[in-house]
Amino acid sequence: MSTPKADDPVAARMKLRFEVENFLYREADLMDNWLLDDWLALWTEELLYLVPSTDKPEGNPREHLMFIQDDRFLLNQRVRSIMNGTAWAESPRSTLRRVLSNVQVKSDDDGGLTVTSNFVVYRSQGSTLQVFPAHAEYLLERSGEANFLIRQKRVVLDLEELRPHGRVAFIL
Amino acid sequence: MAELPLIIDDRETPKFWVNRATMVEPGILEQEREKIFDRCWLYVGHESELQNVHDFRTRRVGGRPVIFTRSSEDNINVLVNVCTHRGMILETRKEGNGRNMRCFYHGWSFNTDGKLTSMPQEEDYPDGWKKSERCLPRPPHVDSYRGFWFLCWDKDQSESLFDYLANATDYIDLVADQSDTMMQISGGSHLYSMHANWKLLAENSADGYHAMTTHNRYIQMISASGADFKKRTGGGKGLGGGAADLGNGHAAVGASDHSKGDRPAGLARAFHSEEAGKDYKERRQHLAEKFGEEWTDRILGGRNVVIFPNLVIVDLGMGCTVRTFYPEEPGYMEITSWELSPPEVTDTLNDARKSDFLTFWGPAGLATPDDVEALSRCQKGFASYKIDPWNDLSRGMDKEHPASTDELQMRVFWRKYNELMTGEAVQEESGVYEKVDMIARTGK
Ligand code: FES
Ligand SMILES: [Fe+2]
Repeated sequence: MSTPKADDPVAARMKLRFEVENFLYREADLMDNWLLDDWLALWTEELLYLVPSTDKPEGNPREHLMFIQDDRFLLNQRVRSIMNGTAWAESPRSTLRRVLSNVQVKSDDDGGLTVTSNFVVYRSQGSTLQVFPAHAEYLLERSGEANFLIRQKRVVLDLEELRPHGRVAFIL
Repeated sequence: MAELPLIIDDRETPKFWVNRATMVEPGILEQEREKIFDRCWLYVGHESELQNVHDFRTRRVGGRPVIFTRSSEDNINVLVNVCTHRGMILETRKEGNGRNMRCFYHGWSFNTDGKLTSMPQEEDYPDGWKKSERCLPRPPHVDSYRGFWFLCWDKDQSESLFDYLANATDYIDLVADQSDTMMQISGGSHLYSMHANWKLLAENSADGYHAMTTHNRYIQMISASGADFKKRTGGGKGLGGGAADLGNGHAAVGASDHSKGDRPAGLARAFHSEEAGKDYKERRQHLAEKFGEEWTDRILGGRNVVIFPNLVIVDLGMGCTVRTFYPEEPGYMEITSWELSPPEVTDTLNDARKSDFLTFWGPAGLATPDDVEALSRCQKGFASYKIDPWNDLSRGMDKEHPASTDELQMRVFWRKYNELMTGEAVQEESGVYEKVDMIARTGK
């Protein structure tokens, strides 16, 4: 096997995807382990966190009823309430494990990177196990060497109804 | 049927207890389907969901599949969504537009008036057989009030929708008057569920008592946004406002807003921007010119309305949700919620409204998930119902003017429930219908 040359475009793409994957894996770890203050630090100051309704996956906040449309203030509030134990729907906290794959860098230019991924979250509480299949689209900003910040994240649940789950109070 | 009474309505002590057996016993649910959901007027949908001719929405109402559709500019139909040939579900899409609906099994086609229009090999039917006898069935009664469409499955129902709604019409007016054209349901809905008995959601939807505790994190958010929650609710002891029996099992809690547009009403966070504040004030001005100060103060206050048995309209100033639910099992209900808003507001106000809606409501909001959790935990608790069968709903029973944090609104629901289930007549607690949101919040 020959070592790829530094200017080899395939090698460059592999390197970029490797870096992006590492970033997304780190994000997933923080969410699964409820280290949400650290998770908040992965975002740019101005941010948009979107989850459309299950029956309007292409929905946008101006026209449609979403599940979540958080700016920096609301995302801080969401995280604070989960961390201080007043989010009763996750108090006591459930056990989360997500499996993440199909990471693709869709575009990469001065404006940042567009990245998509598929993931499944298993949520267990008592004798109940819930499964949340989803895919996400990120707008990432570069932040130093091999690191990124999230400017926008849009999570689309691959469910037609939030039944029988009933609610999502952990971070997707 | 449970051996103990369904409710204890003791006027002497006074106290009001509800039998937890009604939450868990399958035999009771069977009776509820027959005596409540097959008898009462039930919410189908809002007229604004059908903007164009031949638009349709499919959903279940009282457990039965229906098509809610517009067959012409001025005609809306509710049709049973089941092929009259051999019973297949006809339209499987949730929403769409189409002149014809075709059953794929053998190819029968129906139009949006429910007429059977064509089928393959029609010539093979006997001579006397008539297509006109195989139209889609309709609920025996369908009617609307100010854009809200209802049906009733009981052909013997003699009460009109208007009479059935009783004083709840006043509260629907407060919502419908918010638009110069027609209030509009936004695209997208919240299709969620709770592992809890359906009656718990009827109780919870107008329960001011739980707001400060269950929704503490929401209230933290309001305060963090810069709003003075204590001042807004008159001292911070509770939410302010009163409760009213609207007749026929319907009830509301609510309060007027007397800030004249200086701050957002109800449970909203502080204005998102100066521009949003300016737009809000202009909008208030417009409403006041149209309706006068008193009605405008009521409109811009807030209200939680429970229309018996399973329609909830919660309008908290910062947004309005329309919600209906149905029991699949004693301990499991499916819930659908929509957002209702005036289409003519500025983009700035609309953006704020949509955002504020989600901070509270919806299965991923800062409040609804905690209601889901609370009610499911109650349902788990009812496993002990044979040890202590009683839920207590006595708050404010000795008051002339019960507050929104009392439990009159639940007692109103349960008395009607008991009447339909057992035949015992309702004895009202307070004689006259009171416009509860005329009771001013003390804080200005
Ligand atoms: S069942 Fe619909 S065409 Fe036969
Ligand atoms: Fe609640």
